Amino acid sequence: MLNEERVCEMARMAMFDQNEGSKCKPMISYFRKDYIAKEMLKSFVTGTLSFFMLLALGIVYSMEQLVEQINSIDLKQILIESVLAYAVFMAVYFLITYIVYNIRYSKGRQAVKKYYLHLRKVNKIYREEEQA
Amino acid sequence: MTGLLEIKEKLKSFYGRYDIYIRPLIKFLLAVCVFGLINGNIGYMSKINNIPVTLVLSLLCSILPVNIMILLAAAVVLVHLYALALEAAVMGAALFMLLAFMYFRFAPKTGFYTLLTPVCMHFNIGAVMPMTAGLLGKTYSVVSVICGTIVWFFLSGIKENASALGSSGEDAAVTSKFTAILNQLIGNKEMYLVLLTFLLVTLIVLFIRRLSIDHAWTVAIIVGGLVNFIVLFTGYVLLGISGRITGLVAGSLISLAVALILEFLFFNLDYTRTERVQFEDDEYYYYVKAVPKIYVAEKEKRVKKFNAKDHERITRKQLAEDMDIEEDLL
Repeated sequence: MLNEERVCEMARMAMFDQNEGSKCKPMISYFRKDYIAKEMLKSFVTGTLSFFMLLALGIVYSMEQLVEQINSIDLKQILIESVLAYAVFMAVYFLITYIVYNIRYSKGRQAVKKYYLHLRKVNKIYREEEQA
Repeated sequence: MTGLLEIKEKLKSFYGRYDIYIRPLIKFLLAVCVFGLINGNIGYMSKINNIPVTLVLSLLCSILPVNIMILLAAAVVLVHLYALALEAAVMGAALFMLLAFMYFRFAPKTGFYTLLTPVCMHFNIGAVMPMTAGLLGKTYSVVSVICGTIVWFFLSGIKENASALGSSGEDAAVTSKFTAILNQLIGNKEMYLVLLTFLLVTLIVLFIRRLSIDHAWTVAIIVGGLVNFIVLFTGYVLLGISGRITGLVAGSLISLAVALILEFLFFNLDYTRTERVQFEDDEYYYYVKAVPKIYVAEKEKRVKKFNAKDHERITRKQLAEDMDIEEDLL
């Protein structure tokens, strides 16, 4: 005999699994700090790559000027400016990462909580079935 | 009006029932459009610039997520650019990677705005995209429209300078090609004008749409359309860009019509999908098809009685005693 209520709950859980479930996995397996730290690490790689790509594009764009002024360029000054620009760029990039993934973690946890509610209901129904 | 509402309800139930066929079909048509446009405009690699390849790619896209379509479109663009000039492909790859790292890492769901923006720009109805983002998206969706606009100006710049970029003479130094590509993108005043306009239109539409006024969506669309027209018109006159006014008028009118159709299709309508799931327990395998229920919203009725005679009047003293405070405080 099919227990319709249980099938209904299980279908809801399966729908969650199919749609948002995979995205919520990290929210179950990591604490908030660890999750954000993991994303920060990824951001360090992508942010650094982005910065150097932008820098390379800037150099290519002003190549003619650079070649003309090659003898009068203050390398030390340029180096300091680049490092400063990198620091500012990464600070903004990290801040955005922190905000975005903090919100994502909170939302994911809420979705998982709902999932657990359904799971609890299913467990309860199973227990009742066994007793009956 | 009632007829329109009926059509709306029928559309909703039709989508709810047959979404398993409708979604792949829409994705297929979109993919045919995207790959067709790419091949038609910058189809420099003859090996993939043919109908069978377009159809195979579109079929693949119809069953894969939208983000895969974006990846495939980017790959096809890069292959075509490589066939034209290595420098163009390198610049294209750099641009796509920058967009991926700096925006899509944070908002992967809004990718289809970026995909659709160049398509709409090609048909001269670019204004549809900022209005759509304003109506259906969140505040940050404006960035994906901006990304799409930048990609369109990049590709149209490559198309315009194709003969110069494609020349393999010794006089064309590698760096000069890079500089030329960057120049036509960074020095393009029209691009900045369009970016500014789209930013303004999206934010204005988003702001008005959220206001609690009657017909907020319609007002948002009309104001958005007007702002788009006025800012672009003024910009074209100030920048001295000629030959765009007729296209702008026609494009604005069509964009307005498309946005109104979007309002009809999406305003106050939740396209809940039929879900198909599989699971099992100890005894059975379940193949469940969950069809969404359709609720017809009934107007809430409130009955207020203004008949004070029947009511017991509470005096200030009683109220003060009830609330356990001094009478003077009331």
